[in-house]
Amino acid sequence: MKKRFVSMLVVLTLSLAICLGSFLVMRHVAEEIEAMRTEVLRMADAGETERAGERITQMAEMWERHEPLLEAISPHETLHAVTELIVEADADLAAWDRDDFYRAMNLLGVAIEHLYLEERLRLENIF
Amino acid sequence: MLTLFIRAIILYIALVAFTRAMGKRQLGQFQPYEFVMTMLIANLVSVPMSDVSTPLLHGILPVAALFVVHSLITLTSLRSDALRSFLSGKPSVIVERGVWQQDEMKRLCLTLADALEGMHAVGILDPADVETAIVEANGSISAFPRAALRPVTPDDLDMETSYQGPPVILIMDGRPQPGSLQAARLTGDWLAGALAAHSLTAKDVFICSLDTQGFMTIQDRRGAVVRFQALQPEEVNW
Repeated sequence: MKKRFVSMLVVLTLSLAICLGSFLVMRHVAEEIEAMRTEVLRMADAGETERAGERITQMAEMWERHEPLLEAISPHETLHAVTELIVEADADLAAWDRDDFYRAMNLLGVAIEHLYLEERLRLENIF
Repeated sequence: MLTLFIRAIILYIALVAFTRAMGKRQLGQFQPYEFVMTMLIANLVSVPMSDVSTPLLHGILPVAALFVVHSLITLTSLRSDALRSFLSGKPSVIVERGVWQQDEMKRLCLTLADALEGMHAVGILDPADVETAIVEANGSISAFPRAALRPVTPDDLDMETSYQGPPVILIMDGRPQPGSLQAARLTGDWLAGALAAHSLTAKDVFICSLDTQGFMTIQDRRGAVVRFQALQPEEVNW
């Protein structure tokens, strides 16, 4: 009985630790991407397209760095959607296709928020 | 493809570990909450097993949650009769003193056909032979014949009997079993001596058992069986 109780506690602690770690990672990535996205939009609005392009490249690199860990905690379809949107936004910015650029950046914001909200403990997620 | 292969192995190992941790009852007769969990576990791991884009943790973490809940229920049930009764139900007597309890059978939605099938499974052909039948909490039926029909026992004949406990298996497939030797408080040298008296070594033996009357039964690899008194009954101490 004691062994069973201890193993239950160990599994519970590990599980909660994984859940907390997963949430913290997702929150950190979502906040960083969102901060970078906002900066890119500000630069694009101010006409600083070259700087905006550099920032998007940094965003892509940051995303690529975190992707292996994110793939262990999130469905891959959503992650790939984010990758595609970053690439699309970069291409649209380089070609200065304004409408498509802003569309891609807005969708990127929605995708990141969706990833974050999926990971959060909310009644909507439970039910 | 190799990824799918490896993921299936990982999930299988995780499942075996959790099922083993849940105890022997998971492998035998289920209580209702155990049956539900067994069904759920299979479904939970099937998706990450076959879909590479679903993280492994999406299968393992829910199984871990079920393990925690199951452990909590099991541990609490050990201490609370009320909870155990609520979760597992109570056995129901459907034949009492040879009389079928029709109200109880209606309450259980149990037909005569189901009950008779259960009795056949325990070796009772004629329902008139049944004195007591019980539907256990896990749904199985236990049936007991009338006292007049049960086999004669040594007690009925006023015979004295000696203790008959489980035999220890000392050698399996040529390999001595240290745990069994320790349980019987015997040594490897003693075993080797007993075998040597019959011109055998451990490697020559397919199975060697020692019962609580001190009789050793050996089957060697050629199929020959020898049985002899290896210990006096008073020397048996397990």
